[in-house]
Amino acid sequence: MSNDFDEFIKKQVQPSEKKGLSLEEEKRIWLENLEKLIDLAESSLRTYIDTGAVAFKRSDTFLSEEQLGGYKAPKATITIGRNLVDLKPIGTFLFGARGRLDMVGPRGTVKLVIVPPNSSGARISITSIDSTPSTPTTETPPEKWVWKISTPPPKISYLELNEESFRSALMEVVGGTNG
Amino acid sequence: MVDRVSFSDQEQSLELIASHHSNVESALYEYFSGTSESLEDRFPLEIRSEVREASLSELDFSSSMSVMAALEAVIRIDYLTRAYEKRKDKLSRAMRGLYQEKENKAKIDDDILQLWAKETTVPEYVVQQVKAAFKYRHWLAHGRYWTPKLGRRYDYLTVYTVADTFIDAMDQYSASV
Repeated sequence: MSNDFDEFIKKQVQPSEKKGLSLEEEKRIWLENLEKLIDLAESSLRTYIDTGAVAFKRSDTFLSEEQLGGYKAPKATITIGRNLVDLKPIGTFLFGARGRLDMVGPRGTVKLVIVPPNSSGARISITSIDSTPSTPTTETPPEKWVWKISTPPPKISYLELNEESFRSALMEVVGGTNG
Repeated sequence: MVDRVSFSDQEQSLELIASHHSNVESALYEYFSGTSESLEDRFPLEIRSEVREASLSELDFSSSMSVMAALEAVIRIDYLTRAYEKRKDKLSRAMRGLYQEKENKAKIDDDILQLWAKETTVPEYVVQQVKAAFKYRHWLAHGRYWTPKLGRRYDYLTVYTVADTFIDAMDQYSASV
């Protein structure tokens, strides 16, 4: 085999640092983030799960993304009275986010996205006409991106996700608030 | 030289599409969680969430289509306006050159968006995402009969984000020259 061909194969199978994370790393971070979110959901409902008022069931779902192929991902179903709420992973290759999970209830859907910790909305800032165009890379490494609640269009903004805001979102999709 | 396009002022804004989407989404949730005679006659209790999801999914497709149509209108109006007016910035000059060559037949992805990528500081990755979103629009407009290869997942929220980001970047460019 020629050295040129060796080099060619290496480039194809090992993405350079400039290209960012490998697909396996992207997938690992995405699946870890899903576990973290489902842990937060369960922990936010712990008191109610312990008394039997709420049922929390973890399971797997099958996702298919062009760049990753088919793979198993964690999901969860929350039962409150007669209401079922699904925590449904959507995928990791999205514009402006490293993943999304939809909380789907009988009265609405709330979308949760993985974005940089300091991000408050989807818009970007372009640099002035004479300067170098900005790139999609951000100073925050992908491992440090966090789950936030994305408000629906037209004013898409990212709200902090914690146990309290998770419970508020849950009330919204079950119809416990007017939100 | 072809006649100038007579603008209709009937194009939809992204805000209007978002408002309509929210109205219909709320109405679907209301209908499927209600107790109307029509609902009870049409769907047994056990399949209602499934039917609701199917309707919401179709709404997502149709709203995505509206968003991309609105984005096309914004990009084409901007192109034609730059071609008709004598603005001095680099993009307007390049657009006038394109218009002299292709007039109203300039393509969104191969021609107009190329100039946005080449002549402005709108990030290349944003322009690439807009191009990919137009491929998604093409798939929707032609009946979704093949498996599209878009690299990323597209749906109403993602195309809205792409369109809103690009229109905002266009506005920022215009304000900067």
